[in-house]
Amino acid sequence: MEGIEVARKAIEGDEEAFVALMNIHKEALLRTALAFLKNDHDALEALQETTYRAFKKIHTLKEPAYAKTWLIRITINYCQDQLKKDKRYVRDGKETDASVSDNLTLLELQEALSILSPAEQQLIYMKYFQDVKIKDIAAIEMIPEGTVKSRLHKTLRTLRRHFEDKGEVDHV
Amino acid sequence: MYEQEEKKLYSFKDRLEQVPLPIDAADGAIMQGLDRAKREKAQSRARRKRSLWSIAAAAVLILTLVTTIRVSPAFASAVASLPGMEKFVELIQYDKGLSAVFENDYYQPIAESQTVDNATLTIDGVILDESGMNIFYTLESAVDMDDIVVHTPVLENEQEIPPDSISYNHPISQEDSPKIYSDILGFTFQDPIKFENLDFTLELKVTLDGNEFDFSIPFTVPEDVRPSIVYEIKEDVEVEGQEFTVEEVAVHPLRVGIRISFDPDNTKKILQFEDIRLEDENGEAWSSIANGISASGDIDDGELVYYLQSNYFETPEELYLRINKMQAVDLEDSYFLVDTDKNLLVHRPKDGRLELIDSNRNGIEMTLRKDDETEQTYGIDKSITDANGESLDMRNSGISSGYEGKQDISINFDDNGYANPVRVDLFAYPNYINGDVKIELKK
Repeated sequence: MEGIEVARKAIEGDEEAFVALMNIHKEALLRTALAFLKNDHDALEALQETTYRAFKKIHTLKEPAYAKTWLIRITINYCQDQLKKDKRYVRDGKETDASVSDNLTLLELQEALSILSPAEQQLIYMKYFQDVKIKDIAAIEMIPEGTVKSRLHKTLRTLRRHFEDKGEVDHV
Repeated sequence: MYEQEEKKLYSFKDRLEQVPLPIDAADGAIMQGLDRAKREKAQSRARRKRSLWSIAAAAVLILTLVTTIRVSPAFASAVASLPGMEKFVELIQYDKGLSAVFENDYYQPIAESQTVDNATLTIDGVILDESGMNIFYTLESAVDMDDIVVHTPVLENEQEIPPDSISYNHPISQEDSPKIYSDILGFTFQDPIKFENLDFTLELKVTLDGNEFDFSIPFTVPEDVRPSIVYEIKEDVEVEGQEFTVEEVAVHPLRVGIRISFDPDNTKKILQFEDIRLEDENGEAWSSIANGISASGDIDDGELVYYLQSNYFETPEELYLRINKMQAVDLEDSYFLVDTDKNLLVHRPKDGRLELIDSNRNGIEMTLRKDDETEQTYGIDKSITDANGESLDMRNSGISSGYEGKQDISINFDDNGYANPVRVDLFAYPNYINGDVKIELKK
């Protein structure tokens, strides 16, 4: 509950409360960035950018209880933009330094996410990595719960095809 | 139902939670982000006074838009009586003439389909007149269509159809990957055509997610076209010493075409008619520039046809053609010359608003100074030729929106060994002549 009070003050424009809010959620935000991006350095950039965007927009956040998911969405949006740019400019394999990319599970995760649309990536991340309830996703996105469920099914179906394809490759 | 997938996702989550975080550096990142945001807020406060004005202007604009796109009850009920039409409403409601076509039952349902592999193309219906044909079509696929590319369509009839221009929307659907996609192909005929035989074939090539589908659908337009109303005018007009002749105004159900010819002895080149329109006796605008193609022909040939939205189905007592404002430049200012080897601007309009930023054999970067904050120029280049008059293939050209009192222009072309300097003829330029042209259209 303390977190909500902090969020409320931050929304009202209290700078100290805003910093406190960022401190409460910084681990979740860094972890989110690492689910999408390839190394610590990029994740810290994402945290900086999230702070920047959040401070400018915090007055638009209506419900203090959703502060964490709101921040995570900002982070994901930033990461997705970065990935798009990467696709255009780098992707020649030179920049695969990075501690995290050595982690095969994460590589597998990023590959699976990459076949989904940005909106689907967010949905999967919120539901399975942040354990946000379908009811809350519906409230945040302002769409009916049924729509969230059907989108979730569609996305899982896409993932199933992806995993199945992977499975075949492994067996051959 | 998806236990396997969910299990896999949860295992990803567990692994992600074990990844060590660069938490020591996190506070620094937060402070940097905060500082940047605070700096910008301080700056924007100083600018706020001015931006309030643009917000007010934007608000007026949005209000106007909201008022005009409200669907009229007659239009709504006309569309509701046609099954499957609701998907087209947003494509046609902005055009007064097209809406009137529906209110007056001039739209002709066709409902011809062809299935190729797992994709189906349906021609829902058409609007045909002497000036062109709008084809309302729907693409359906058994699988989600993530990437839809519609290639240049071909319309065939016993008679030859030289399509002057074809407009269609770029497929952007509300959904990311729709199973159904609807759009309109708009053909504008170079010269009005009266068809003897109303049997047509539409050839359409579509690429869906990288797979090509060739559709070819024969269809017959059930009812003959309504005749266009042509006003022969042949009236000479003078604006700031420049002469042109309004030859005729042709009112078709789909559009109004205004044919204008220009006096070869003019000292200025007229580039654009900014506010050409039809008005009734009370000065109420009856027809303004249509979306999509707005003119055909080339001003260098001395004659052009401008297109407006149609008023075919509603004619007021009196109708006037009005023109007040034109973009025009002195003949010697109607182009600029760049030597791309020396990176030098050799010639430009004498007002000096064009400046060369950089050039090489594959492109030119320029800026256009804006004298008026509100003025916005949308593309200035019409064609590029080299020193021998050979035309160059433009790869792309673009213009930025205005900032800091200027707009950036970038023009790129292929280096085919051309001879410098290259000449860029202007398509538009923010220099105006003003007049008051009012011509009554009499039958």
